[in-house]
Amino acid sequence: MSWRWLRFFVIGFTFLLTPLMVVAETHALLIQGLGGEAWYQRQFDEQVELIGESLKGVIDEAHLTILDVSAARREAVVEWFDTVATGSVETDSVLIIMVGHGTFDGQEYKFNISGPDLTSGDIRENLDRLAVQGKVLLNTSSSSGALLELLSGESTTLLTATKNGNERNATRFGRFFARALGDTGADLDKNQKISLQEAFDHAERATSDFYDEEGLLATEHAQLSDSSGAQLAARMTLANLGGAESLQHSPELTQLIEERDQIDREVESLRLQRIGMSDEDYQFVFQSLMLELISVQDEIELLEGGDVE
Amino acid sequence: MLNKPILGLLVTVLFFADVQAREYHYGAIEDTNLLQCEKLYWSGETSGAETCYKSLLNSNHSLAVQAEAVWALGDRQSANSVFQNAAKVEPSNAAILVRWGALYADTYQSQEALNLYTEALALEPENSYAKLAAAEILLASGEKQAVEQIEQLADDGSVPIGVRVKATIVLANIALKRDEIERAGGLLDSAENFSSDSSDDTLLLGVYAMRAGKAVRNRQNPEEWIERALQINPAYGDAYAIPAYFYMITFRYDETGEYYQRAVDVQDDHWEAHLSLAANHLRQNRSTLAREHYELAYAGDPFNPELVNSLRLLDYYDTFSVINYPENAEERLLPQLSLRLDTEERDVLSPYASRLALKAIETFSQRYEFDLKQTAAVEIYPNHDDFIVRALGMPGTALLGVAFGYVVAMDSPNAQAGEDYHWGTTLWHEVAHIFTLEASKHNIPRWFSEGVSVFEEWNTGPLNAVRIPLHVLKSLQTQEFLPIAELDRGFVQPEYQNQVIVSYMQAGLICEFVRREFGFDKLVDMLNTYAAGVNTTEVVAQALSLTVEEFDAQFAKYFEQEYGAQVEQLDEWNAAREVAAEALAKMAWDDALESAQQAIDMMPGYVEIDSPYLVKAEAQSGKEDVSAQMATLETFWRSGGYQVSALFELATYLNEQQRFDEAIEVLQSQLLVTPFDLELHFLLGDILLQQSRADEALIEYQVALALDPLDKAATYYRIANALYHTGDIEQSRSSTLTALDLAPHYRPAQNLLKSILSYKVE
Repeated sequence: MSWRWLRFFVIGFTFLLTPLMVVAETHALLIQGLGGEAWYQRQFDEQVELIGESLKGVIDEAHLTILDVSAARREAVVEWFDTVATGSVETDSVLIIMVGHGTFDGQEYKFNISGPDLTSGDIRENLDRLAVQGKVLLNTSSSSGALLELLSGESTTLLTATKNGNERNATRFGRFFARALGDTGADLDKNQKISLQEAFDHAERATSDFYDEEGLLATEHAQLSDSSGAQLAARMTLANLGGAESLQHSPELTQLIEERDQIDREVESLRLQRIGMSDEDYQFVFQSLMLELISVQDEIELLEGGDVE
Repeated sequence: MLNKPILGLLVTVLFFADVQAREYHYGAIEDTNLLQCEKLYWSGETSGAETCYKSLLNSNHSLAVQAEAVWALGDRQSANSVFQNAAKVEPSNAAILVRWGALYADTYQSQEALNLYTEALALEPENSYAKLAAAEILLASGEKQAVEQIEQLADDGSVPIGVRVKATIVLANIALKRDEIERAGGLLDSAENFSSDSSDDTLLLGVYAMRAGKAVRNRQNPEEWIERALQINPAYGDAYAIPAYFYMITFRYDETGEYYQRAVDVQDDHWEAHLSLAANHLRQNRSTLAREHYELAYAGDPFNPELVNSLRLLDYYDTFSVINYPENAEERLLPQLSLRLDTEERDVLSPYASRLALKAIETFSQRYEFDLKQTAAVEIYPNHDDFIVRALGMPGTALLGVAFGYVVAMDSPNAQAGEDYHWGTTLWHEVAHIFTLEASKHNIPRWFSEGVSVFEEWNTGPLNAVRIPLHVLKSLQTQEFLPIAELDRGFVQPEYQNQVIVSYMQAGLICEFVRREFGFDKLVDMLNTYAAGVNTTEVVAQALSLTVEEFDAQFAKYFEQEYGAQVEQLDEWNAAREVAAEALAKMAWDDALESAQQAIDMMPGYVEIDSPYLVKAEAQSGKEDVSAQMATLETFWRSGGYQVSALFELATYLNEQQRFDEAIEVLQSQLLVTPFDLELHFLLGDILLQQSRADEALIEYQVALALDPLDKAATYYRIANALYHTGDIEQSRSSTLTALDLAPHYRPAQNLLKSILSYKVE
């Protein structure tokens, strides 16, 4: 196959895929549980603040709900689910982040909040009510791994700080996760954004390194379970390192950004076709895409007032 | 009346049994019928013995006799049940408990054996067989009083002759291990005399075997004594196995293999000999033969925990990655070095282990004027217990490395927790052993081989500094050095805690003393003189023209001059160090500085992980006097210190000060402590690249990639950049595209791609 036809094929495939790759709104809920001791309270306060600030930079204010320790009650959570159930469409996604302590008695997981705790039953029942394409739940608490089994089959991407409900010690994962959202070192694909996957990977590694360096036996093992197969964690942006993108662009800049995004889509499409391609073909098309991307990025940088590197 | 299960058991034994190897009873058995069978067995008439034992398996004989017969026929599990019943039927019979205990000892269950001996002694406090057997178990666990107990039995004219003979043989064995040849000879003479008072010539078997061991220990031919033993019992494997053991502990592995092979040739069910033969094959890098004998031993003796460990190790051993240097031996028939590494560690350790090992080989070849005749094989184990099983057969010892001639095995940095372990020094030390063992044809005492290795650590090794641990100096406040002629004893039969490490240091200091007073050439002369098979007294006389007494006196004077003050001031030094640490904890920086400096002035060479240099540096950091802090750390490092975080800080500082060569040196020195530190490789690689040392930078980045970094895009970019600077443009392009595949928006990689493609166009 000639290179030209190969490239054409990739572009065509990209257009076919584009509707499938579009994510509409993300409805996000950040819940802070009870700390119990003052030290844990401060830890959770810091984590919620960091995560909240990051989310504000990427999620529409109207779709972001942060329930701090005083506001986090069962009825508030249920009310949020009610709102999302009626106010979302199928192409939307839901992101729930839980920061706090959890317990597991062998049958039910409980997230500690004021008043009645939020149970795994509550979470399952309310997730079931949502008719959205993407559901993501991140829980940084002790025993959060119990949810991997309790919520299996819910078409939900689950990220937990522990591998099962028996890892009962307070976790360190949440702290590393929150800090990852502001760490350029977590931006593994260098796109000035931190995805949920990137933050998770960074935090998981930092947690493991912590136990190694301290010479301690690890009492927590973070897990990511994606039963939907949609790789939502990789596609969901949680932080914008370049600052909130300006909505005011010149037509020229808008055009260039669109071109850049189009090239990104072509790259993603190329990756999906990789299995059927030889290394040589893949590298050739990929290199040509990179050269185009470089050219567009050079022009963007010039327009944004910087020097091209 | 036998119960039915036991009867059924015995019938089964009748059909499938074969006579198996056991230890001689030395008179603990009195039943005449049983003794007849024992006589046949210990005369080498195994077939007749088997028939005889089988004839005892009926109710005409006591349960105790039947238990012995079942045991002799090889079914130790059933024998245990029969002994149990025998003890129930005759609860006051101490002799049954003694023999039952011997069965447990035969299956490596020492605690259970000891319990039974204790029960026997409760019934008969003067039962000398129980006393001896219990003492032997306690001796094996390091109980010093056990030796006294055995000595009493040997001297006691009222105990059975067999007890005296066995006790004396045990004492002779201890003496031989301690290299007390004369004492061992006297004991064996006594044992032989005791035996002559008995009509049982089987008592002489153990005596002759131990005499053969003595001959080996004394570097004489053991054949005369082996022949005498075989005349009594042509199937007596220990006639060869016992001298083989003494060949092994004196590092003569060729002879070790030969004699263990002969042991199993005359007695094919000598499972311990098969095990030892297997271990020796493994020492000599013959894993196929090792596996053959391990499997034979396991089939015959599945109770032996060492066998299970060894077989597991072999399975693991076969998965190791083997890298030869050079890889394509053009001028050489054999590679100079063969590295055997765990596949998970290979890509990280191989560049540094090979570099250091080859440098060690070159250094020692020159210094000791000896070229290796075979490939030096270095095995590095990420799990300490696996290494110990490789070295000794059983886990649970504090060794870091071991050399078996051309084969060296050691712990990987991952095998040791904490930051104390300097794997590069261990490698250097063990490679030095290859030279001392081979150059002396394995005719070298333990102390001298260890001494040269320690000496080389101090003089040519990566740390290049004399380091004597604190607890050695502490021990020397109350203990004395051993005379040079007896120094092996400190390694083999230590009499106080720390004596082994004190002996290591003494051995190293002796070599240091020889170098200073007589010249390095004399050290080489000593090595070559040992090769002729002479003992230390003769080596000192021939090489240094001194008697050992004169040597000891001169060495003592040297030590007093060099280290006397340190030993004397140790408590004062410790106090200053503690004051400094307390002041540091309270952030009283000036007080900490003062006390730390006092300690440094008293012992400037102390650079362990709790060194006062580090306290001083931290206090200087507290005062925000960065240049003073770094000067202190530099002194610490140049004196041989290697605390990881402190030296990383020093390297970063040196880099910022544009003292690039020194920064590189510091970081490279750290690779011999923490090669699995990702940040170390990145920093070192970056500085090397900046200094136009792209080939070296590339190695660092490739190792970083092998460490599975989270940020692979940045790592591939670094590799691509280093390749670009080495001129390998095509590989650079490939790595750049890999980086961009992971991170398409990665600007440095994008710019590099532009440069690469421009390069091509030009």
